[in-house]
Amino acid sequence: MTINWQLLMPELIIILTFILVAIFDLFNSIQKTVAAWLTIVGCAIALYVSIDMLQVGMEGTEFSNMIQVDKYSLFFNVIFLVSTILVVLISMNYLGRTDRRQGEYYLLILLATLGMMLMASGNELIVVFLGLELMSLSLYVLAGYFQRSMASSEAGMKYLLLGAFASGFFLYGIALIYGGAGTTSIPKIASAITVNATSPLLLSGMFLLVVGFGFKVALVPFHQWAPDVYEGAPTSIAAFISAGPKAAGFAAFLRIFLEALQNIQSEWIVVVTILAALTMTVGNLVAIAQRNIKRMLAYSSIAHAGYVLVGLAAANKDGISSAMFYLLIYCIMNIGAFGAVILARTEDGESLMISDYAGLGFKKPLLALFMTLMLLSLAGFPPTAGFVGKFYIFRSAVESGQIWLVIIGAINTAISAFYYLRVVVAMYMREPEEELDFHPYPSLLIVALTLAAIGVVLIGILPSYFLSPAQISTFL
Amino acid sequence: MELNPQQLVFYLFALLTIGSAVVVVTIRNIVYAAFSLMVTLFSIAGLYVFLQADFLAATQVIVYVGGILVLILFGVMMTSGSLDLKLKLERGQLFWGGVVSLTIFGLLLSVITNTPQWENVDIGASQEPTTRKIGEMIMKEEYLLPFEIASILLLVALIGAALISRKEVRDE
Amino acid sequence: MLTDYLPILLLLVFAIGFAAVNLALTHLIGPKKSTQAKLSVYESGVQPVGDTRQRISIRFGLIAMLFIIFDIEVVFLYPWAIVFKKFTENSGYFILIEMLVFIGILFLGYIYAWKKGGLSWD
Repeated sequence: MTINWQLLMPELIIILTFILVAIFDLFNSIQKTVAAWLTIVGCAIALYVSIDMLQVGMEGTEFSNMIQVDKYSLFFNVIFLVSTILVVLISMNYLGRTDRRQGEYYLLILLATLGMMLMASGNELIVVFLGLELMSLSLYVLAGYFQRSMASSEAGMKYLLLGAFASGFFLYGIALIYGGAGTTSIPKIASAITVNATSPLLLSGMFLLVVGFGFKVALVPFHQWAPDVYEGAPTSIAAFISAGPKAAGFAAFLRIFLEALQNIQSEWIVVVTILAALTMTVGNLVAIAQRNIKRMLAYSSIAHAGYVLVGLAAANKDGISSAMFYLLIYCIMNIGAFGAVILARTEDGESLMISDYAGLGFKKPLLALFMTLMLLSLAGFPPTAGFVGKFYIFRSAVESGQIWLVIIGAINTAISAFYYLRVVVAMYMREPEEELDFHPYPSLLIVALTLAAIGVVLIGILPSYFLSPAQISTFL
Repeated sequence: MELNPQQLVFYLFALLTIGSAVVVVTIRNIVYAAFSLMVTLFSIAGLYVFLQADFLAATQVIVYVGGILVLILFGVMMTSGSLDLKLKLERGQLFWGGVVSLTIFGLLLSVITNTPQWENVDIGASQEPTTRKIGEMIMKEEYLLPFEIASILLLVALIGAALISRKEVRDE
Repeated sequence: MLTDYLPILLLLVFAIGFAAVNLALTHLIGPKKSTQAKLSVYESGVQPVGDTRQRISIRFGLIAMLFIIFDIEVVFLYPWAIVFKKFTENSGYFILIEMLVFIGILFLGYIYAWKKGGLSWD
């Protein structure tokens, strides 16, 4: 048996990094930050290799069609690795030098990243499921990482229970689809469905998959876990959960629904359209009422999942590429926003109330600048990346005739501007209610935020440079 | 309706599965619920036998009845005073739980009744054990990769359990 | 094939039946003269100390997790062992490497839990 290891290079590098970090963590109990640096270096090499493979156009299947490495999966690898590097950068100062358990923290982040990569390249529902579980299990533990904090433990518990529930739905869906199509291989399902298109087994399997994915990427009405988990989890982990795993969920969502289930498109497109409209609207409306910035960002990330879902509802080549492009932008700006929240730490811990941000514009100009940039991008103002991302998503939906969905999306963008700008207004135009003693800026966090800011501005100014790789990377 | 011995045993196991599952969700005493779950898991192993999934049946007994249930009982004992804990459901939870369960039941029922034809398989017919087939599939053919990923999945569980059960230590 | 399971079914019936009949018989025909000593908890002749219903350490949870994980590993070993001979005749010892990778990954986790003090009882 010969295996083309070159195709699996990014995954192998991640596994190798994992082993190195594990060995290092076991035999060195003093220099804990080295684990983080090893993680960053490993991810950076994997990122370089992925981009290189993307440019060369290396494609192929491996392990008897279990893994499909193509431009689509490589593009998602880039998204995951960029998010992981940014998250590790914002974590280092957040955890502090004294945290003895840092080794496990970075090991779990690495394994979660491996799970995401498997989800994007899985060509078989079983591999997608295993990737999903690998990612989710790591995240449950990471969400409950601060054992002394009741909120963190509760977040881990809630995430575990609802996540296990979602995995159950997902697995049941796979089982029913197997019953209807006789296979779990994505391309084989696609060819099997043409014969018996209306099999109730397939239809109900499809519904259960929607529910499973809905939980994992937090679509309304399966979103209730998200605000509680984001609020309770360590802020760096909230950034991680909101970025990479959501992109991974969509990577598998898009591939399964547009490739395996493309022949029953007429059945699921209605469901997906309703979910997209509902997710955007509820996410944005509830975000307005939030006073805690982490909860506000949680509802905003729910709303953003709705925007990405518009790309799936468009169900065409442009829909996929604009969803991929949007996910890249979303990951960068969302991690940036959470990073800015970490930056606003006081001696008492984090300042999480939006009212705490009053007057920061003059007291902490750099923090306010980063926060403003990320929030403007999340709201979709030109010339930031958020604007071009939304533009291409909505254009693809117009092309496929989903005019109503685009109108709902546009109204929602207007609504969202209200609560994003409220924070900006508070920072620049309000006087602080009480004097808060802010931490000095940690250097690595500034590096991460600068990188995110450069990304957001660069993609906003030169969108075609980043969009064209996405456009040639679709699987349709 | 005449039942042959096989069908009789099947319905016995089916009844045992459903009955003990009902006990699990309705009984107030958490320890009784845990032991009732053991009966459920065991009778599901019996149902696997009728599906000609002999390896799965053995796995069910070894992993679920022998392992998961011990973990559940430990979980019960780790929570202080929970042996006397009386489980209670809020009315609202009961309502929404019922709605979700009935929806799923309705979905599955419609699948069963609407599927055009089900293949009939003679369960009494002799068939070679599935263990060899499973071994060939995970070792040679397509399922080698999931097999190896499964070990990484177990590794995550191990690291996560070690992390959570350990005290959070910070040296200041 | 289903008849192969008849002994298991019989064993099951006998085990449950034996326990049930004995319990029922002692309940029905045994004399009931309760004294203080008879009603106390049976601890193999030793005086019971304290209540049994107390909280146990979370470390038992880790032990149970370890047990399940290696339980699952053993489950995978069965099909592997059955096809081992046939595979080595056809395609060499690749099958051995496959299982070594599987066990090696778990072994790494085991060392990890051990070194990190997950198994120590302080």
